[in-house]
Amino acid sequence: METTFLSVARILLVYILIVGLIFLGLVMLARAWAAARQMRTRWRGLTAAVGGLYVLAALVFVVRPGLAAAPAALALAGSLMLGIGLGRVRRLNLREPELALLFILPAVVGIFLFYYYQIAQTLIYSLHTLEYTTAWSSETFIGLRNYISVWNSPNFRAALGYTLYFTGVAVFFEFWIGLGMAMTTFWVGGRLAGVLRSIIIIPWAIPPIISAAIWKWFFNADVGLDSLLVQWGVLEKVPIFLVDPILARHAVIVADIWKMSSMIAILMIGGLAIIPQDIYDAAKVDGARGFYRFRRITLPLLTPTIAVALLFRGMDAIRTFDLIYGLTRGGPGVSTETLSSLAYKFYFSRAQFGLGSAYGVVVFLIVLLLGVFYVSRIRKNLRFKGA
Amino acid sequence: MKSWLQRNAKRIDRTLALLTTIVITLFCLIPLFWVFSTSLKPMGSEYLIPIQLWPEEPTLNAYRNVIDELGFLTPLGNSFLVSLSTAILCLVVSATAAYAVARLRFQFKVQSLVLLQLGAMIPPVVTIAPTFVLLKEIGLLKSLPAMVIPNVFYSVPLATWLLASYFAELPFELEDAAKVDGYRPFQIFLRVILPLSLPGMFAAGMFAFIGSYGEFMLASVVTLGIKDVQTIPVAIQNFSFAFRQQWTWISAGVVLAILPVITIVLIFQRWVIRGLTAGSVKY
Repeated sequence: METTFLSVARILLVYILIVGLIFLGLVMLARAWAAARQMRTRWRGLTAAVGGLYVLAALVFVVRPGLAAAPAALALAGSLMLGIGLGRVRRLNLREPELALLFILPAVVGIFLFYYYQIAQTLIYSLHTLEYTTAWSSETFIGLRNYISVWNSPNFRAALGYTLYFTGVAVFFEFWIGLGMAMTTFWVGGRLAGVLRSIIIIPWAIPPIISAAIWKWFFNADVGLDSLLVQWGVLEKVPIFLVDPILARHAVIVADIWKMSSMIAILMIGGLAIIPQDIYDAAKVDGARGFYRFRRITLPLLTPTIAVALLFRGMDAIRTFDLIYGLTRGGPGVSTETLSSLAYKFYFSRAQFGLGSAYGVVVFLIVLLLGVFYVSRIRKNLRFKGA
Repeated sequence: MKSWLQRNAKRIDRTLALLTTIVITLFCLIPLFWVFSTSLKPMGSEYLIPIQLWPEEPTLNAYRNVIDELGFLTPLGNSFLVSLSTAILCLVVSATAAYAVARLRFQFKVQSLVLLQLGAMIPPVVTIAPTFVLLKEIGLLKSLPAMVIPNVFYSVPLATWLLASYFAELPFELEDAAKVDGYRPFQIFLRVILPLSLPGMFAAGMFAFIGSYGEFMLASVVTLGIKDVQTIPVAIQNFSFAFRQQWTWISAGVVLAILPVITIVLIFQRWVIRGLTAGSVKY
């Protein structure tokens, strides 16, 4: 316990130190650049070169973290000298943009470290034969051969097919059920709406792997939903949800729909809440009926929310892992394997990090495709004025 | 002469709305009810046919077993420790970032936000192997901080966005007044903006808490085989494989595991909706 505490304290200190040094270097460099702009080209060139050192340090860090210290120290020293010499910085009175940099840097450095640096690593892994090791620098570089063997593997095609089928079917039903749920909260209105909202949120809050356990019990072959349906005389013979490949594929989808319709419903409640009520009142005066109102007013005004919700949920569904792992482990056979669950198996069951990374990169590329649409949709929401 | 339908339109509408509400309630709660009722059954009776929807003699034996013999309180405690520290650290990092985004003027603002949000889209399966290596290299493997530190940054994008949209709503006169009073910029953030944004902070913290409470992939790799540092999702997963027939026990574990999150979410219900829609809907 004590050693854990100490190691955490050490890591925090190192993190603060790194962020602080990056901040100091960037501020000094920025001030030197502002001064150099009015000076001779030689100074400008030197300042730009020091700026280039930062990029170099970042690149070296991706490839050989140990060697990055040298260019980083050089960049820092250069910025300090230029800042003091050219920018004539004697005291650091922070201006507003510099203050903003200081405030945002801890988040940005961490995001780089835990997302962008990692994805660069995975890309590099995927170009090597890595088995039982991730020290790629001492392993053979094989170019795109991992991707080729991924593409030729029947398991990959099956998993890709199921991932896309899963995403399509699940998101379709989640959308309509979620929209229905959201509209019902406005329909019942009053105090009941609050109760209903609370109930809708509950499935969303349950951790995915636990919801997988719940559904595993619900689909239990002997005394689950299937036997219950037989007991009530709905079905004649017992279907075995998680054993038959086709049933298993759809059982997983049902479990996902149960949990994630809530998510769509929450997004839609938010979207419906900002549709001004007077539009509906006006429509009522004009004699517009229920379904007509829905098609001509609700849907068009909700379109931005719907687009964002579908993209958001789609990106999430493509990378589904927990539910599969907890419910079927990809079985029976490989019939419910998604790309993510296959990648995980390659990493941690077979220790084939190179191949696993190639699978991971494929998931990433598909998500990225949707992500580009997503970001272009939400971009206008990212505009914050600032004081 | 109005038809019966037209005369009773209001009442029919109301009845239909109530019926839909009931259907939705059943849809959301039946799997949970099923697990809850199983957890109250005496051991072994969960396999009796015909299936009992509610046990004839409810008992808390399964809970006793899970807590006393399987030591379920350890992962529960671990999960709380991990999620709470994640939430607090995440708030520190993202509140400052959100303040910069929402209240300060600087170049590349949209770009840095896009950077954050694009990062959040990167699927965990792409980053898990290098993250594992990184954690191993800094000597954190098989300890709780190994889950906390990555989880902090997994929750930062959403928290930053949520908080930024909250900060942006506060009137800008606040800063002017504080400047007149001689507050330094950091004091403005700490003494003016933060106290006014406590609800938003709670909401952002709750998202970080729930996210890391349910995080499974990283936890499963980091805690491999070490019982002392297992979190709830890993423990449940291991339970359901180790005692695959004892569903009264697993159900009791599941109920214990989801009670805290459900309580938290119900308390912050309004904020869940707001927080999730912060990205898609502009208030």
